[in-house]
Amino acid sequence: MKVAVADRQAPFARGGAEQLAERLVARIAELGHAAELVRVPFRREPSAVLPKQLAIASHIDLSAADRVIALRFPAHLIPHESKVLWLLQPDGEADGPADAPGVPGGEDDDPVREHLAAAERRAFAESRAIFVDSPAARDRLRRSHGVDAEVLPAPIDGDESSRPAWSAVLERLLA
Amino acid sequence: MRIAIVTSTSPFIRGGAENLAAWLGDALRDAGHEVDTVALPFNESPERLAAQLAMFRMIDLTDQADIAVCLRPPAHLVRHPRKVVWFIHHLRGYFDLWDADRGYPNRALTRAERQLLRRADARALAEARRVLTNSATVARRLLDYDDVAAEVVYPPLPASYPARDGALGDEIVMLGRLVDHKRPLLLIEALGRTASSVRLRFVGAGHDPRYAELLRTRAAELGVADRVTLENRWVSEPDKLEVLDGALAGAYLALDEDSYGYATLEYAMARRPVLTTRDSGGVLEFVRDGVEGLVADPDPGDLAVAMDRLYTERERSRAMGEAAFARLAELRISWDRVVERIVA
Repeated sequence: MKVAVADRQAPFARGGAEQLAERLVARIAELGHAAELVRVPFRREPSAVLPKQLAIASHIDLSAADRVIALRFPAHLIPHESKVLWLLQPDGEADGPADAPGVPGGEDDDPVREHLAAAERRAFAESRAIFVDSPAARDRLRRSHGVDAEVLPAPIDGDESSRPAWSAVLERLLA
Repeated sequence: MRIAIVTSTSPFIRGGAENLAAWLGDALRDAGHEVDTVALPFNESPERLAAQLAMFRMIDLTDQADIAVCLRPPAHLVRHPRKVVWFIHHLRGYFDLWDADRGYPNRALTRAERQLLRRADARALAEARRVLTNSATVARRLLDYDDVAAEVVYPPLPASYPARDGALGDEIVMLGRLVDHKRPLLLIEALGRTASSVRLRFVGAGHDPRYAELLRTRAAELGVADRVTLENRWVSEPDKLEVLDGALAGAYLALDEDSYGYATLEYAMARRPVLTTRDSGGVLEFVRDGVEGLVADPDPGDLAVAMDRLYTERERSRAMGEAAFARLAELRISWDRVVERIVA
């Protein structure tokens, strides 16, 4: 199977989420699949670029992949008919699911907020499965979008007592 | 400096542009720069082209990097005040291959897309701080199609690639994917007409196993199967070096290539003469007939004569191999130069 792992990229920034995405690709490849990491250019500020970010994500063509696993905003908005979301919020509390940036301001910004909400509703509706990495994220997603997600914490190598093993995670993401 | 390398990709297909981006990244890091690569999938089909160009155009790296180096098209559409375009090819189906076998047919939709593409290219190239190309062939097309005068900066092999000097053997080696436009069949037809005991070896795999079978069958029909080695499998880098170390010459006769091809450089690093044909495009910037190798007509008879000469005139072959190695420095094919032209 051809599997695209989709995440975002703030150039020159590298943290836990970037490493996790790379590990996920490596683990999928170990199972004998063709795995590729696709990173959508991303910036959190200024919020005026948000509509552009949604447009970029919606035009990314991953039709060559049999499965897309999307991790963080705005990668979850990439259209694909066999898409699984694994919404990671590595820093815990975030503005929105998939660590979407918040839309500040007052009523003026309502159209932008609604544009983002509509894009996310579409993304949730067209996904085969939705996973989040913590019970808190699951509860937030239920409150904000009425979406039921399954909790699937990110594995930590060497710690399988409190966390699932990679094999269990991959089984869920590739099912 | 923070240097962003921008390129387009075809998901699940690793091509020359990925290697170029990786090696360029290494060279820039070696020179002390911080490097990140922005790579986005690109679909050039007429149905998708307009939206795909818009997607690249929406990427603005202005305050995220000090320099943006743009490689595979349409990476040059991204926005950055200090944009250096290393233009490696046009979307050839809309340009020199337009309305031909390998290009897009001339229809209302494709004409409209082509016009859009040309306007987008013109705007993006005009913004660039500097436009470099990988060959004089592509530089000529940039002048013809875009009225842009570009500077030729040849792409090197990775800096770690070793120069060698093994004894000449009996095999003419063709490195690269076993695909029709690289014309392995023409080499086999030529072998059928040789008078000497020269041998052929193909190093690389094709997408279609039937193609390798077709080549084997033809070699058998010509009675030269015992002088052809064709494994049709991926070959490791050390094994490739070993093959080149015992080779007589390297062959590169792809039809109408944009640039000289990495295989040509690999032959030169092994001090091997290069066998090519008059219609091979960019490789002729590197190989001059009788100097760095032999340039034959693209027909079996003339190629057979060249193959026999490589085999029988061994002193000459050795000298041409040396000249091919010297050509690397003559054309200033080095990462130092690439980095200098990007950062200067």
